Amino acid sequence: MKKRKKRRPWLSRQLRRRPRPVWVLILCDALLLGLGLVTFALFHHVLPRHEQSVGIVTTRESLMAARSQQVDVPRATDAPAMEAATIAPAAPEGAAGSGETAEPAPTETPDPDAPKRSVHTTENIGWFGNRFPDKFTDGEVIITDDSYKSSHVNITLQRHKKPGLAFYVADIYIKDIISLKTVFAEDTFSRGLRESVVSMNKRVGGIIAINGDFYGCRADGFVMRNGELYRKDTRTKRDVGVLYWDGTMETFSPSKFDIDDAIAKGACQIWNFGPRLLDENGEAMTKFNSDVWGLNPRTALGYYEPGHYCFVVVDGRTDKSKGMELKDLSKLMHTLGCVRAYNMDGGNTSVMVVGGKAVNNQSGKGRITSDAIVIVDN
Amino acid sequence: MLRKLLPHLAIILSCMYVVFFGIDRVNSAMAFIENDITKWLLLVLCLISITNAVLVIVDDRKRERRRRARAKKRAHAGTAR
Repeated sequence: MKKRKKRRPWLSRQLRRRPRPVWVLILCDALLLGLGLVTFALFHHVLPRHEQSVGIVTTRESLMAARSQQVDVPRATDAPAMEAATIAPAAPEGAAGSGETAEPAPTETPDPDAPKRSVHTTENIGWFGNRFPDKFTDGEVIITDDSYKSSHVNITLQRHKKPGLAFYVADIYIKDIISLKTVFAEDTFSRGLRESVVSMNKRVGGIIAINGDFYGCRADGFVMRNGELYRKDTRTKRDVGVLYWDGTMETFSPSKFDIDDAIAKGACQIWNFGPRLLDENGEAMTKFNSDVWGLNPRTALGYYEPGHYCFVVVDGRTDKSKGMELKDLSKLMHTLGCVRAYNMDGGNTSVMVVGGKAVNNQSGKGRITSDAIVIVDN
Repeated sequence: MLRKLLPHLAIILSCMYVVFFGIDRVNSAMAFIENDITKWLLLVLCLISITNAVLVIVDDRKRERRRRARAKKRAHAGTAR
């Protein structure tokens, strides 16, 4: 009986054949390289990967308690003091969804035996109603093409267009810090999940929105949104932007940022893209902690004082607008009068959304992103 | 088969790293190099390179041994004449 010769596998047969021409080898390697890069991109920033939140939560109430001062009050004045101690803004609707608890401010039980007693006086942290009284209405909502004025929010949109450059500045006053909130794509903290800013803005009923720091394309750094710390990874080399419950904003170089200190001071939003655009004195900078140089579309968040912010979006990579360099953006933020400014993700991601549609011309076809910063009317 | 495949894998992975390096220079915020996938790819590249290098060394030694054996044979043949 004739013994049948065992057939080798296809790949083995191919490799044992006469050497192929060089151009075939190069073509095969190039195709495999492309396949490798596509596979990498798929796992690196397309497929969603859910992450666990660190679980640390800061609330306005806890900050009020921490900042309350022990003062000695005579027994005779106990009752008025107690009333004063409980004055705080009413928790607005939707506060629970923003990671806040609706617990009342802490109060003390009177001690009848003590000749004097200590009470906590609390301040209305993150409430700016008295700071800009003329900026808000008594309840009516006035909407024009470029402005929105209500009892809690005042937004004025300016469109600046000149040859080769177009940028948009939204001047924002809010009565309550929770009007400035951040939104995750599909309301989920995850790498890879993405959604358009238009859609995120619509979902939370926002008035105006810009893209955030695109935390979802990285695994390191810090992510804190609406009081909850989701990611705490100190390996970051990027600047950090922090918004506190009291409405103040600070920007840090990575070496100077202390997450525990920021939590103790009542951070409610932490972004980790950057760079910071203004120095500690609020002056424009010329050197930045960033590799994203050149003319590009840009998004920035500016801070004037508690309750007063601005969103800035610069168009780029088109004939009508080439974009801005970081030093130009820094100058712009300084000219606008900001004392702190922080650069968010730019390029194709840069977008400002008003009333369900983008105000600016996104470069390329735009890009869906992992988070947005939204102004909501309480 | 391994001997023929490994050099190509090394070329492809190395080229991928050249691409990562380039785009990381342009936009480091995307963490093209500082992420878990790239670190594992780096390990694979290292293992492939080590295997490749070992195979090259083995082949080289074999060739050298054969060359010496042939030279010795020739020398013996010369003295026998």
